[in-house]
Amino acid sequence: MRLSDVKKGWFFSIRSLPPGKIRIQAIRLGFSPGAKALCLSRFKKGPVVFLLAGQEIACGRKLAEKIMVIRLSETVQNREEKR
Amino acid sequence: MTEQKRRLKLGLAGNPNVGKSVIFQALTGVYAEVSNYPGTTVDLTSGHFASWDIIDTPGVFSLSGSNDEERVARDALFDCDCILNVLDATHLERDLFLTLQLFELKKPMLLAVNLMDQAEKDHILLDLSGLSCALDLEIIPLAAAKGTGIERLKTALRASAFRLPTGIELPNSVWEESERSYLRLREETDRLSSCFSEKHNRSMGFSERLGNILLNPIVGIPFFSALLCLIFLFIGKFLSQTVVAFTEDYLMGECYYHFIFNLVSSILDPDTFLGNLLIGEYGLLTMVPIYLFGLLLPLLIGFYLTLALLEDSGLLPRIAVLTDSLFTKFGLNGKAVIPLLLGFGCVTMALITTRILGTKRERLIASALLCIAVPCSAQFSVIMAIAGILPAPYFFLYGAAILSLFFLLGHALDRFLPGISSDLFLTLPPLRLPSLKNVLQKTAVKSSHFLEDAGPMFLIGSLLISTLFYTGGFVTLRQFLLPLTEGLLGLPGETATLFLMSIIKRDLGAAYLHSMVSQGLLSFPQMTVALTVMTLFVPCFASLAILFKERGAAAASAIWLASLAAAFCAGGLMALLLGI
Repeated sequence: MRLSDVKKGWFFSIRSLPPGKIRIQAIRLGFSPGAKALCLSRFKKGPVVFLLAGQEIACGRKLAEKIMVIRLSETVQNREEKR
Repeated sequence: MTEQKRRLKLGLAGNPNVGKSVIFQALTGVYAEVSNYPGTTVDLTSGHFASWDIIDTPGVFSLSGSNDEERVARDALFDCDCILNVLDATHLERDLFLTLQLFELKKPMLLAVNLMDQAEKDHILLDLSGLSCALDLEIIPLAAAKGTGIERLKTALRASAFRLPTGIELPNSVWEESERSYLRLREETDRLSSCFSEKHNRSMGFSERLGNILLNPIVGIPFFSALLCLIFLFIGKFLSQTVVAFTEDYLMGECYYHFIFNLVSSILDPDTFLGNLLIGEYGLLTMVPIYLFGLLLPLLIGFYLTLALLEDSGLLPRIAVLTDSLFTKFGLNGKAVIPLLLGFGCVTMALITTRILGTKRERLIASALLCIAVPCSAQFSVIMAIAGILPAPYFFLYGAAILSLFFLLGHALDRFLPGISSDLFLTLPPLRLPSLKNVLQKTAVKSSHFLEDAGPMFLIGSLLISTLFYTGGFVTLRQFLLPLTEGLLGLPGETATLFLMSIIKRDLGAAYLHSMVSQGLLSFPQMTVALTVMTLFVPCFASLAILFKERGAAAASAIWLASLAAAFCAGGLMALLLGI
């Protein structure tokens, strides 16, 4: 799935990044394929904010649509809410 | 000269927001601007400590030179004899990446791990001695904001405890922006940080939870709107009415004015040319200090104080995230909120900050918006002061006019400028309680910069206008501009002075508008028109100079002319609408 489809509270790992300058910028922040992150917030038609290695990162909508991720699991909090 | 040659250059390097500027200040006593958002240091600041010349470089995540900051930092570090690399104890896995890149410079290094107090609070265990062995470098733990460890750092600097890094084997060309070398560096960084730091699972701290809540639009948007209202009440009501009534009307307008007028008129006839120049209506000793110290200084101190609090608390990048979807409509991204908001402080400064934007296209759009539709702090304060007097419908009309022009302009530029803009990709610093000392210091530095910067312009403006007034050139000019002022805009002829002053310095024009309003020269509809024209009017000399430097002659002239056209078209339309 795309990073832009990730919902708040989801754990995910990065599968692929789009080519170009942003790819290198992302890798240096530790945002490389295989890295795990937690979605903190997601705006309708706006950016996705996630927590990666203790660092909060905001990623614009258009870019998030080009980043492919794999969903890992829900957070404990989410599971509790469902119950 | 020989003394200078023997001094060694020490470069301070590190990621954004790790406390380089605080350490720099603690060592050298020179104030380097400290903020809680990336990109505060775009230029280099230097100072001395012991036998070192210390250079504070911009905070960067890497040295590949993909933006201005990285280029400035890289070139500066190339020239240094030794490097002091500052790391954030809570983000070693991020910061060690740069450390490994710095190894490639093959210069003697010393590491300082800052924010140790925060790491302890966050239950992060660090094995600094292990890391020190692995890298074969001396490491000093610090909590610079509290001053802990600074003495140890000073001792290490005096003893010149720098070593060439030899502990780690790295592939060649780690600087090259290739994916392979970056992934290799990343791997090494992850290995080091997992070996020597251990994060214990913990519940989220209060500041993190608050930071998250603010990123929720349902909470964030009302919160930031409330914050703006609070700022309005503080500057627009409290400062510009209560405080300025005391400083401008009483302190400067009565006490100081009578004192200086009596003093000068006892040796000089106030009706002579020189008398006019010194103590006339626009005099060097009357208008200049009354406007500068009585009106603008208290307003600006309040404004800079507010801005410093926003910057240091880490709220600014969160505003960038919240406004991102709005700015994408103008071909910008949320990052643009930083220069645009700074523009409310000083357009000149903000024009320089547009460098943080990703592409040339974004920088051009942001510059045009700044020059045309964003009022600078002095204007903004005066606008707020007048808003306190103006009935609500008029003020809303004014606000709507400026906002719709802002949107229209942004949209049009995005539509017609070629190229594509970059997407938001921003690291968010943690929310912190701003340090009072830093906030006050920053306010003081900016306010005194304002006086240094505005003072000469005010003097030139005063001389020019007094001369024009005395020689009668003013009447001619006023007559010449009558079709524009009275005809098109329906304003009294005095507004010609306003325009002239605004061209010299926007603040001067703002101050004059304020005095026109307080003298009751303008009716409510006229105030609305004057406010509109003044807000959109051309940028001041200083901004214009920066605009030419940063954007080039063609773009700068186009922006200047466009702001002139926008001001008179919008003003004329509004005058028509209000039936003046």
